[in-house]
Amino acid sequence: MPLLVARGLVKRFGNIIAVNGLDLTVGEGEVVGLIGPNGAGKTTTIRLCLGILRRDRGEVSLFDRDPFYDASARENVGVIFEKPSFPEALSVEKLLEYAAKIHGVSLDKVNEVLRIVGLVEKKNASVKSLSAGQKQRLAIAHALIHEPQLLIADEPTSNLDPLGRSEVLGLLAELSRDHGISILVSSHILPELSRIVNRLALIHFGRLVFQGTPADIMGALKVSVVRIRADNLEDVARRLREYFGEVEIRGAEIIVHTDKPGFVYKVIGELIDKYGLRIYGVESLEASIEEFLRRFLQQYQRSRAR
Amino acid sequence: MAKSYPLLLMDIEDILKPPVYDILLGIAVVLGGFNALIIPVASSVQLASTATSVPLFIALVYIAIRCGAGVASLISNNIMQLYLSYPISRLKILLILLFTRILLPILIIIGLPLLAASVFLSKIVASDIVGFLAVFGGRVLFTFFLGIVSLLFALSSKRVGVAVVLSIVFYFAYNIMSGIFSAFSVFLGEKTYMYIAQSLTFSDTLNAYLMGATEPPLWVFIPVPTATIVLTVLSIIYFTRRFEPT
Repeated sequence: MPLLVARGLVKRFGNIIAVNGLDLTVGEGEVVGLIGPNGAGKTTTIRLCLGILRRDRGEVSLFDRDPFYDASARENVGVIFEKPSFPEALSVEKLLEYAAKIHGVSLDKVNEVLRIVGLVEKKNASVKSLSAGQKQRLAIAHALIHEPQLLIADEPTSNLDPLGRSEVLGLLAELSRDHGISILVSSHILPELSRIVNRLALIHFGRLVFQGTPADIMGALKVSVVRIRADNLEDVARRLREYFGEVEIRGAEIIVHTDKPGFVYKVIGELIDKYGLRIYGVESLEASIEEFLRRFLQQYQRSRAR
Repeated sequence: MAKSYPLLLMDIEDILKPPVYDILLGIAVVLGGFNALIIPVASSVQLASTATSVPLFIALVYIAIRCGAGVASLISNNIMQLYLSYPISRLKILLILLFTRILLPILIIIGLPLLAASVFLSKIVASDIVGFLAVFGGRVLFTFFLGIVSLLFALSSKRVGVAVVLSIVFYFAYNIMSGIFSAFSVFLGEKTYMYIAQSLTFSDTLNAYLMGATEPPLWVFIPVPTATIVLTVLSIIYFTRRFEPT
């Protein structure tokens, strides 16, 4: 049974449509990654799913209840916001004690979650004195205090250094694996999410544009990327466009997207022979997940423009 | 209630962080109480009225600034988002805010001088406890009325500066309006304007009435309590059905 179901969600801020008919589900034990570029509508989607924002259209069911009107829908949900904010006058321990009481769990949980996130030595420190990374850890502890069935995390690694990011992602993966917690996690960094999720939902302009497992995405990445370094980029790109649909100049390189990389080499050989083009390097790469995202969104935007 | 009570305590702990003007506020409250002790009073109502006259002004300005700024900063600092992520209904969260951000400061600022006065001048207070409490209730209601206006400014603007400026402008505009109606009544000789002015200065009119200094028609006591109820209901409807912390 899905813990979270969103159907046809629409949210406008004035003239801007932040979320536009979005469908999303998170099932029991699932780890769903919500990915998309900045401004895609990830945070708004999460806030709508939590009932923090009021949807203009559509439905949200969190544990079979509407979270906007029924606060009990959030009883089994732990939340990590992108920029965690807590009353700053409180100490770490006091904050977590209040959270434990709100959720009706034993105060013993406070030390337990502090141990999990490695903040035991900071328990008497005020929230105000914590660094961004420590606040992020506190947010995780705060979200876990009542052993939620569903953890909703909005960009949980955004304030962290690479080591911190890795630790947090490891922790999320562990929570899912060892404690069976379902997770909805958003990020704009694909490799991070693909490490821990069962399913990825790509959103752009508030719409769900792709949904599948990381393997599905890899399967969709049949295309290769051929990277070309040349003297006259414009000229070479123009001639390559006669053969390939997707040719772009990116920095000092030409990028060709194709499912026949061998053919690129053949064409380049012919172009060199025919026009004397000065090409210094041709390199065929397997498209990264970011590459996929970039291409996907480009195609999506082109289709919208048409 | 079991879930809301810790949030209530958490919010109280948050508002009790001590900036300098809270200390100044304490001094002012003491001065208000002191005022009651040095000015000779003949009745319980007069005592309550005198003891709360300075605190009333402080309470009004304090609520305008503190409630407006406090609630708006809850929103801009994303603390409201945190509160709304708890399994606590929006109605209960609003009631918590009404208590911590408006009612509690009012009870402290208005109530402490009265408490001091009733300790030191207990015989006078005992002579008319009902009148004493009526003055207290009138002051609290009047301050709560302006507090709920500040709260609505804060919830709708969501910006600290805007909420504070609007609250202060409203407070002074309200007083000026009362003065204008008083002036009309003097220059035009029309009592209705006087009654309107009296209805605007609700708690002072109530005190004067209780002391027998004026006998306005009863409707004069209706607008402020009615407006308070209407605005409270409006804030509940807005917060539970429309409010978004962004």
